[in-house]
Amino acid sequence: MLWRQCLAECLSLGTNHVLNLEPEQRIAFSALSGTSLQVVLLPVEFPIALYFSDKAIDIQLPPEPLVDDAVDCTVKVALSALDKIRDTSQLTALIKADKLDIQGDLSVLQKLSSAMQQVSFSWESLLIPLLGESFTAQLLNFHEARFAEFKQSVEAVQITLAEGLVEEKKLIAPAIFVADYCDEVSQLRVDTDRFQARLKRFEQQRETNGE
Amino acid sequence: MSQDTTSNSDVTDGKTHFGFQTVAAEQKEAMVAKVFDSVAAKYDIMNDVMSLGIHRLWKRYTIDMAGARKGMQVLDLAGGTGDLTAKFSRIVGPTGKVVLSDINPSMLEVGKDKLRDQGLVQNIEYVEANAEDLPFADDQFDIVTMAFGLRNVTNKDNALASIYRVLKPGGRLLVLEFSKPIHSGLAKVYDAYSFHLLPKMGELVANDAESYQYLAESIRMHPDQETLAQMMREAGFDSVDYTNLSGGIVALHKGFKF
Ligand SMILES: C[S@@+](CC[C@H](N)C(=O)[O-])C[C@H]1O[C@@H](n2cnc3c(N)ncnc32)[C@H](O)[C@@H]1O
Repeated sequence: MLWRQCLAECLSLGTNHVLNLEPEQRIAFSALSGTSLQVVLLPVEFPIALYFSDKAIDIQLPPEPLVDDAVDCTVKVALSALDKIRDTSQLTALIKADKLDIQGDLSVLQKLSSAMQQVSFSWESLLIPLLGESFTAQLLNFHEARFAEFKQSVEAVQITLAEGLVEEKKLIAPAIFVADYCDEVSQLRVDTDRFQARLKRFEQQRETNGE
Repeated sequence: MSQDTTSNSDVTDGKTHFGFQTVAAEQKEAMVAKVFDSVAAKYDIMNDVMSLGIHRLWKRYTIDMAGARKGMQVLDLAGGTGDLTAKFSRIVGPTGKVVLSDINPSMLEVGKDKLRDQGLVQNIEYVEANAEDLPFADDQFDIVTMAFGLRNVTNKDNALASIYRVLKPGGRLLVLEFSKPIHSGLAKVYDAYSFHLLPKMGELVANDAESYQYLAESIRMHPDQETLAQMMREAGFDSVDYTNLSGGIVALHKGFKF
């Protein structure tokens, strides 16, 4: 029953932890101090309320969207367009495509967009202060290798299962489960690809930093 | 955890309870003050340890149910070290105001330091006050919250009447307080925890078993869900209801002044 509150607490703790580790990132959000913004994810109408102060961002996940005047700015955005609102030049196009609706003080969203552009979160920056540079490098390398293995195993299991399903027609699972399973595997693939790309980027960053 | 639901009064023949002890009503305030003087410095860490951090979720739930908006006036009564105040301060923003009020100056002082460290200064006021006799104008606040405070008050009816007076018409009171677990199995485990483990944890972390013994006893003596709802109705609140959290270990009561 308290899952929303639990998720909100974790999100708040995580966000502020990251911002506190990198003071420049916190400075990026300082223009937002004293303001509030609600993002309502469409079509599920899932609200995320952000309250900014000098030293922290509090994230609340209210049970239903807040009325527009409860916060300075309400942004209703389609999940598929969420990534694009970082770029203020795309806002008009998104509004025209009915993927974005903004109520209230637009400048709050603009400030948030520009803060998000300045923030470049990296696992390295989070881990180095905690674990030290060399251990972080080892850990990231290790993970890169594990992810590659993991991806291969997922593919192998997928092939084996697909062959099994064709041959053992009697034991075949209902089509819906197979479809679900395939969806999950594809999602897993996408996730592993994304992680791998990220790790590559860290690796390159390390190299350019001359380590 | 049987309660006398026929009489809601905390004070009978000038006597009241302090945990399991019966004491003269005028003594309780000083005794409670001693408990919170003693726990103030370690209060926040003990809250996390004792509840395994779950008090944060109960408080978040309270905020979610408060309906606070920017520009509102909020009273965080018996607010102690200001957990709810911090959240309300960000929600109501620079055009609103939050009053953190507590009877105990040591708790208020810890709260003030903590909130200042968090950079929350401009819209918070600190007022030392007894919930039974609030020093605020009639119809002043949109929201009053009282988290884990009501069971320490000597005369709860007086406190509810005082809160009712300072709320604006349309305003709401939220009382977050320990209550009666709804499953007997959970009640047994919870009893074992609060009477055996809690004082030991108090001893270990805060070097103060006695105060945490009081905490466990005061929880037992606090009215159950229905009794508190009835007390709120008698004080004039409308649309009173409550939600059990964590199996009724804690309940959030809500009532409106119309
Ligand atoms: C358990 S603490 C709760 C603090 C805070 N609300 C929280 O949830 O963390 C209880 C608080 O109630 C305060 N208190 C006790 N009796 C009071 C009264 N009659 N009027 C106002 N505050 C009182 C105590 O000083 C203490 O700070």
